[in-house]
Amino acid sequence: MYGTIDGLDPLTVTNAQGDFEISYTGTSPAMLVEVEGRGYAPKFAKLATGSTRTKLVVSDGATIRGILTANGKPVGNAEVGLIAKDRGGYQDKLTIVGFPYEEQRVGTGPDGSFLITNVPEPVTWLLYGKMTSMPKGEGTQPVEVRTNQEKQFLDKVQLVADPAHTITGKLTLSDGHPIPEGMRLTLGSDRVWDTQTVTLNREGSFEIKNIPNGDFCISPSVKGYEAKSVSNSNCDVPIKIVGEDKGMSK
Amino acid sequence: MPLVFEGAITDFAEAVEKHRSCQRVPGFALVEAGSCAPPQCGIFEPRQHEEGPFNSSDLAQRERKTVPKLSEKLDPDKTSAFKIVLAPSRSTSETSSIARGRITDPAGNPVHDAIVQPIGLILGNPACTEPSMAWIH
Repeated sequence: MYGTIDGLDPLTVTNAQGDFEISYTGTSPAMLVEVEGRGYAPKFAKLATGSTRTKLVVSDGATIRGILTANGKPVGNAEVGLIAKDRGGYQDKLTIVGFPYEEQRVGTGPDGSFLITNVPEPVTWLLYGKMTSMPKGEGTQPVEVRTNQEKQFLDKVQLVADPAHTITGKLTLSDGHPIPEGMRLTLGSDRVWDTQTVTLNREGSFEIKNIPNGDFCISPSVKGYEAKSVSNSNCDVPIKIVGEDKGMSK
Repeated sequence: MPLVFEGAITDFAEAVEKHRSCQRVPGFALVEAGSCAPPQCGIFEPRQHEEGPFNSSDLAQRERKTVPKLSEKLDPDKTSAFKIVLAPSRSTSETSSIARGRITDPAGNPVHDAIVQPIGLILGNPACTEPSMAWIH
């Protein structure tokens, strides 16, 4: 079962003593929560229900500072993302596998600099420029950074944008009908938390820019139709972008 | 006073809670249900910091069909098949599951205005059934 849960508080906020309570109207022996305090790194915790109050300690986390450049020049007004290399997830009995923290996003200043604070540790992260925010024809390969300890300051991290690919293609419907107006197609990176969505025209033609080398998934979304999967994965259309020739790909 | 269990109980919790949510009179709970043993499986545990006398006449005045009737006409042979456990009732507010926590920084100072968001929970009572998970994300 996924989505909202009837009878479960959607969130709560700690009081002056740092205390909180989360209520569920049914029977539940334990809950998994994420804690986010202003100025502290996010934290996961498994809490047993009952009268006992579980003590949770949050920490400052680490800080990552760096600069985004393209062709040796700083890239301002771009967006930088940070996601755990091993995103993992949740399993039975509320077990956490990997580091399923949500993506952190920050903007770059005019000098291309960025600062990400309260980063959980110890975790290996992937840092990347968001595709849609990159200068035309540019894209970044994810940079691996590791936070090891609280209050660690990782400085001068270099994130470099290189010439990127453009994909053009055409989506057709098996019954030959034109594409309904407003339908979309999404390209998402397999490695990092980055997607681009484009609107399809009536002929189904599309163009997606700023794609770096890597593995991606194309997911068409046309009302009343579903893709004939070309692989055994969950991806409708997996593609691999490789090569030095960063021109047009089809 | 020995007790004879004469009526079927279809909803243990309802029998106690709905009739006694506003009165601090001990209810009763209850019998063996399936393979589960008290105090698990919806059978109430004693209310903390509360005590009170058991009043059989109070129970007999209930008219709900789901409420078991207690009789003083006893036949020890017939009672041997049932196991009856009496326990103080609890208020409706205690029927929900509540997780409680306190957030501090490494120095032990309380962290106020922190957002705590549930991600998932275990549903049901693991002592009775195979637990299932429910996830927000």
